[in-house]
Amino acid sequence: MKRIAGIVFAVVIVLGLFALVNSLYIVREDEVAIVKTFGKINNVIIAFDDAEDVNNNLKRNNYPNIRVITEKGLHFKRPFIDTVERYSAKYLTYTSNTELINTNDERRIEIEMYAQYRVLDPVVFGLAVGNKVEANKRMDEYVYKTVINSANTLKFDEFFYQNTLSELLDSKKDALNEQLVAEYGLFVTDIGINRKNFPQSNVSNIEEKMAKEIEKESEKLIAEGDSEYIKAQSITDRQRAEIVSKAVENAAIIKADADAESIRIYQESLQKDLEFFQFIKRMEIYENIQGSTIFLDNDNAIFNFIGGYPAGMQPVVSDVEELETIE
Amino acid sequence: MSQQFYNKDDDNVVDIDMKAMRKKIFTFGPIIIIVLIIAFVLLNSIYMLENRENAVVLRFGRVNEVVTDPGLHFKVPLIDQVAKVDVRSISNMEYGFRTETPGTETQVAGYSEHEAEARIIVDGANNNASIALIELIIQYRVSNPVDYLFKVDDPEGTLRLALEDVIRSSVQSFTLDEAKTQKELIDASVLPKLQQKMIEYESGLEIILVGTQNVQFLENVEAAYQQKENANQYKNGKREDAEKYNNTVIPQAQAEATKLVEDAYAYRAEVVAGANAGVAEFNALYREYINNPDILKERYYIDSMTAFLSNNKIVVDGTAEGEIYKFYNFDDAAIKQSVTN
Repeated sequence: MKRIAGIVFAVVIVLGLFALVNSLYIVREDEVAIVKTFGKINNVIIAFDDAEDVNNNLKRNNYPNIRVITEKGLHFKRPFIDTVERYSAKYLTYTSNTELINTNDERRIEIEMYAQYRVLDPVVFGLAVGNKVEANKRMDEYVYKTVINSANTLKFDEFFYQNTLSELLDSKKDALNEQLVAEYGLFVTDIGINRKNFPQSNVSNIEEKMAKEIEKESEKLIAEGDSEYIKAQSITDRQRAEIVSKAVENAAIIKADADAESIRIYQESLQKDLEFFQFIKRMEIYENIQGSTIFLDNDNAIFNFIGGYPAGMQPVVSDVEELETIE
Repeated sequence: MSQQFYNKDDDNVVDIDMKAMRKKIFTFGPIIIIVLIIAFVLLNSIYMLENRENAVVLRFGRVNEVVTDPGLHFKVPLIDQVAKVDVRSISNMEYGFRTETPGTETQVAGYSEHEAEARIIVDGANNNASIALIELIIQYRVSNPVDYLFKVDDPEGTLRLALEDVIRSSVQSFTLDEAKTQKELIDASVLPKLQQKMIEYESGLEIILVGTQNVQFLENVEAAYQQKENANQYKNGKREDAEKYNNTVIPQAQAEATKLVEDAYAYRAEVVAGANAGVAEFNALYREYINNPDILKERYYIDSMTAFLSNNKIVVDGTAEGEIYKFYNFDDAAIKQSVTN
């Protein structure tokens, strides 16, 4: 008897402990949860910041009786009757496959896109989606479509403008989120295109085009170099000519001044007796004539005395100008 | 036989020991268990924190506090969980390449290229789509341990996607030349945008540095680009040549000009001095002439005629009509001179 009582006591203790443990549940910081009673959702545990959105969404989906708890951590439930389902509350990342898109002006770009999303409303998410794999499928359907539709309306260059695409996606994000939250309890915070490339078949064309473009620039640079050199050279030559000509001019002026000065100096004293000066200068000229054959008439004054010296005869010098010279 | 015998003996010995053990377990067992439980609880109520770590204390899964002071700390045993996050160490992320084997003292680091990632569209916004290959690294660390632990599913993976997005959307509006030669432009454009995205995503990551390592073009384009560099150098060379030409020609011209002017001044000095000298000479002669005009004139005349006659070949023309030219045999040199003059 004593032994049976001991066993019963032990069983009760164990069951009691089990029930106690089963009546507690923990929702971690990075989780959201729903509590079901025989399959019927009674409670939902979410972050405080999402309370308003979740309340609205529950009303819209006609679940007004579900209690929204905005504190995570330790909670109580009825043991064995209530079951808890937890989902990650973290931002999840969706990445697409490589997709070929056509821009508005018929150019093709390969893109890969990604989205950051999270479970906002675990009630709707639990009912409509349930797990991450399914959630990614919904993203594939909705986000992909949004990006493709946006890209199709843009021209090639617009697609690459700094903000055009991201602004377009942002503007579509609100409408997208309204639908996603209502139908799947999912909320997208950002859609991005992480990879944009030309299709492999276009690459060699682009490479060729780029090389040609750069070659053109090279040729232009060389031509510019030559042209600049010639320009600079002719400017230098002009400057040189200006400097030298100016100097020639100045030198000529200086020389002319000098000549005038010398004439003035001569004049001052020569005016005293020009005739004598002329005589002296001519004599100097005759002295300086060298190596020529000179024809002289035999009646030249120098020969006056060649036939004898008559008394009282004066030499004549006035005939000197009649000299004829052959140099 | 002997083997069996010994075995039997052993069994007996063990049986005796087991009985003793049971007694001991019944007396000391509960004490040992209680001591072990107390030790476990005590150990579970303290934790150590290093300088570079922050601790996020979770009470029943909820964030209770963030501890930043290093050293020994207490927590409620079993109920509190502690997650330690390194908030000092800087992590690297490579874009366009990966370090396969890190460099050591004896070995050069090995890298592999990730061309699909590295190949980006440049200058797309000008409808002038071009391709470049870019390699860069970023450095980041955890700045908000709570966000890092609980907000984002895969912070590093998310960072990589955002990085690629930001690099591409930054560089697509640069021109080829900017991308190639002004890497700091890329760095300056990527860093704030990436940081902004990390804040929006509540990743708890802080971007410390974005460093573009290398921007290359496809093979043929790279070759053309090198040629362009050469052409650019040619142009600069021509510019320098022109400067050199200017630097040599202008001083030469200035020297020439100075020489011309100085020569003219020299000429002036000579001419003026010559004139003065001539005048002085003439004045001296003239004074003599005034005293004795005829004698001076005659002496002068004789002197110069003497020189004149001895310096030249004199032909005296005794004919009445002065027609001696017609008969005179000039030497060849004289005729030549006469003709050329």
